[in-house]
Amino acid sequence: MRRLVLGCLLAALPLAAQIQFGLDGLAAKATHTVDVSLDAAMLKLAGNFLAGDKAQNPGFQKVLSGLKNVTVKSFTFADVNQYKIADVEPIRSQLRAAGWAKMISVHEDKSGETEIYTKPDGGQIGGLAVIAAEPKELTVVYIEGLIDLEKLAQLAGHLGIPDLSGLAGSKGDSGKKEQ
Amino acid sequence: MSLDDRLRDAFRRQDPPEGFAERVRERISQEPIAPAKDVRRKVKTPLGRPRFRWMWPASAFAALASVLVSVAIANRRMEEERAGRQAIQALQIASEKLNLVRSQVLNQEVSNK
Repeated sequence: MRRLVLGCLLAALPLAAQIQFGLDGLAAKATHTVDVSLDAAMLKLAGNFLAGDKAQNPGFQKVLSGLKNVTVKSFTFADVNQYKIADVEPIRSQLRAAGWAKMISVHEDKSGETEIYTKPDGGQIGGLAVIAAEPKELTVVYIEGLIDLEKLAQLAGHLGIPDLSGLAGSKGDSGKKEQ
Repeated sequence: MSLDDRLRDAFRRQDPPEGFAERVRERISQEPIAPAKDVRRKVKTPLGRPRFRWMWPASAFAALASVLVSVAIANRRMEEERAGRQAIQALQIASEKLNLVRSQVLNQEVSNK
């Protein structure tokens, strides 16, 4: 019986570790919504698809191979003040509770507030979360799994991904940019 | 003798000779009974080959199986494509936001100088 209970608890651990976003209510106010949620199985399928055309998608499969979960929620609004910054506070709390560290936090009056969280995993980045709260746009990116920023940077210029040159070097900037 | 009389005489009922029934029964009991032949095996197709009883069910099953496999493969490819496009979109947004942070940090560094 104890083994059964222990087994159930161990099986429930990954579910408990998953972040609950709770932003679904914003979709009704938004003019454009992006809701992408890919688990490990879906990422494997995506890797198979992207591996089909290596000339067009170089390195995509390598970037995806180490990932366990990719979730992106982005809401674009017609006007300002359509969401409260408190809406993302539960996400921040969950990240902090799960051992994620705030790497960068930038606040600008024009472009709003942006935070980058990383999950340390034995000297590597085991996860990356971005909370970008712009006046007319709220975006949360949650990537769990081993992330090689250099490989990610190599994707620049392909499939609409902007140039990220220099980003890999920002790994050493951890904590320095926090405002 | 008229034709009618000759016909009547020819079709006249006659009793079998003495001991006919006994002889017939005795002969039947002596001769072994041949086993009934399987008529179905003798049925042949127009081409002259024996008909294969499972040919049509097997063909139908093979056709159904190939259709199911094709549908499964097509479905998997569609799922792969959808997942691939979502992954690309997710990476695009992630990269865009990382780039935004980078430019914000650079702007602040420049303004601090």
